[in-house]
Amino acid sequence: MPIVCPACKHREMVGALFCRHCGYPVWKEVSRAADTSTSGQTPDAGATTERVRLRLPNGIEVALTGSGPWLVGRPSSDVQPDLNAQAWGARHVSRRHARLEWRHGGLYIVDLDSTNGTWVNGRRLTPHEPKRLHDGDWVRWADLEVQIVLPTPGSPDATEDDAS
Amino acid sequence: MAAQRFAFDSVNYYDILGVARTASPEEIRAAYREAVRRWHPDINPAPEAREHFLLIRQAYEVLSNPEKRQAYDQTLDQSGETQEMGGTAPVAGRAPLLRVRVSYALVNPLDEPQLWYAFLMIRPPWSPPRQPRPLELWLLLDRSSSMLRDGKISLLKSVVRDIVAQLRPTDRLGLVAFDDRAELLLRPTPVHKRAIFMHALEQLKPRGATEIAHALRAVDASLGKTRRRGQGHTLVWIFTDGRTYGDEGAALRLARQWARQGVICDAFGMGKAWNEAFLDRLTGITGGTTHYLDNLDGAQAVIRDHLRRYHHARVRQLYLHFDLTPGVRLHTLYRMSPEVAHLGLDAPIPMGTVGPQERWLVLAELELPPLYRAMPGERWKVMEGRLEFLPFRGTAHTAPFRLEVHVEEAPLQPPPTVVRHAVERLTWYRLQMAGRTAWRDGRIEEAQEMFSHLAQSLARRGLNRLARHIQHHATTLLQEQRLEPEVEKALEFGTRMLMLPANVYEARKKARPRGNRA
Repeated sequence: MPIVCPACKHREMVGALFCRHCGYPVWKEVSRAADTSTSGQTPDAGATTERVRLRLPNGIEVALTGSGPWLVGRPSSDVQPDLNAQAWGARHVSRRHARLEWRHGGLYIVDLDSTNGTWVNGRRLTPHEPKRLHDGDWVRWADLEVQIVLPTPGSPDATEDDAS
Repeated sequence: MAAQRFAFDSVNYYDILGVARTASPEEIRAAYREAVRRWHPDINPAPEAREHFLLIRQAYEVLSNPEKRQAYDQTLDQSGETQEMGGTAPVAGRAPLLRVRVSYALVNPLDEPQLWYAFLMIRPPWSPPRQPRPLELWLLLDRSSSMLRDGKISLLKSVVRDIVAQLRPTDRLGLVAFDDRAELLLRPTPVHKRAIFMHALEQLKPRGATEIAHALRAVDASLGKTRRRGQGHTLVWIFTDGRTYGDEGAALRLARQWARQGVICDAFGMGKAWNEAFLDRLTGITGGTTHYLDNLDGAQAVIRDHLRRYHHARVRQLYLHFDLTPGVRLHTLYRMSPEVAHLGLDAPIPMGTVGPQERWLVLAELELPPLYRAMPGERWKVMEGRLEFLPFRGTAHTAPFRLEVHVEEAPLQPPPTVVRHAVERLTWYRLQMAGRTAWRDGRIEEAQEMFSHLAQSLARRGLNRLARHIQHHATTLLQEQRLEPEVEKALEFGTRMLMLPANVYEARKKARPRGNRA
């Protein structure tokens, strides 16, 4: 049967190495299936020990500590955000700009009615409406854009070296 | 069994980090950081993590140091984990002419078709010439009135001056200017008479429209007429910013005729309106390549590489001949070195030439038919072929080869990194193509999604700058419903460039001005 890309659900022919719709390395699914058939193990979801990371514009990755929720903003006398966006070069973030949190096993972002807005993959969020984030999503708070790196077992990063 | 030699049996440092043999230093660094994050004993409590972590450190220590990496590469080359075919060279050493790695050496007998990739690494059979070969180079310069826009005419003149400066005194250079007609500015003239070229260049006054066939005919009349002893390549380089209409057929016919005479045609597109599909076809027929010129520094790097390749060419032309087993379909064939080209599918396929330290790298995507009728353990032939190396004098050297798969009901081995690396780059290029097609068809959300996926894939590989660039265009596309033609060209050639070998990619990237890097 054809391979179904776990990331975008498009079908690929047997033997495809990467999903032609989203670039996902589908060859890993095949290798994993082979592992399961030989050793009887199923890939575990032990990703919870790893952390969410934000990839900053300069390429540096910041891991989020604790279990959240995390307030994103700019420090002032009355607000001490968990994630100080100013320290990463943002100049126009609000004091209480947005919140990142775990819900139902997924990472969500909520814009807290910030002045200059929160954007996910180029779309502006409606304030106070939670939006689920996926590995590789681009999040922009005012003038700062970061990329979300999620350690879910389905993410290509997390399984990169399973083969070797 | 011989086919088993394909198998992923030995784990090397590249496999430990999950990068290809051709990976750039930044990719190695990114892969290392990623591996450390997963395997550091402080993070990963598994008992084997510590051992694996030490291996990762060992691998990085070698691969991050250019000298150690080179020495290590040599030991790998001798370990023969790759299928070697085509016999050895008649003159230059005993190394095999063709090495092949495939996505799956072992495939399952399925009742449905499956995709299959073969990555061919080809070496020329002869040593480089002791003296640089004298070239006959024709420059076909588009002087249509659109060249006046965006400073293209002055960029073109600077590029021509640079070519004259880079040529050797024994080379001969001919100039043709064209718009909707063609004018022979200068017959092939020894390059030491530089003043003549500068004077001819001053005569280049923009006017009229672009018609390429006229220019090709003007060259054809005197092409190779003055060929002398020891002569190297005869080359035709087309510089254009326009789209030629109605005369494509005539131009392609001439190119076919030239290919038979051993003439190689390369093209350099400028600005946003030129037709890359047509120029790709035209140059591909002769084993040449099409490039995008958007600035002088980038142009100089490309021209330097081309001239070095042709001056020190080891063969006049390589032809790839092949016969597919009935039922097998060849989807696409990409040359990833020297220069990136989408090759035609009708054998024999001209593959151009290589310079010192260069080899041909070709990725083939094939579709195998349902193999349920194969005998268990059968070595099933996918294709048979031969490499035909044409020398400058004397007879051709021919090297036969045969690609096969081992059909067996058994778990698949992960594809070798070098194949994954090549296919991943091809996937990026295709995502970009698919995004542009969606945009042209008015499926804007889909186009935006394709570009976003592409950006995410690139970022995962540490190609952050290009990723951000593309993400930016994806956002603009959605918000403002536009994708400028210049951006399309940058996407096309930016993702093409990623297919180049890492050292060439790095050198070309360095040559580009900041903020304009693809």
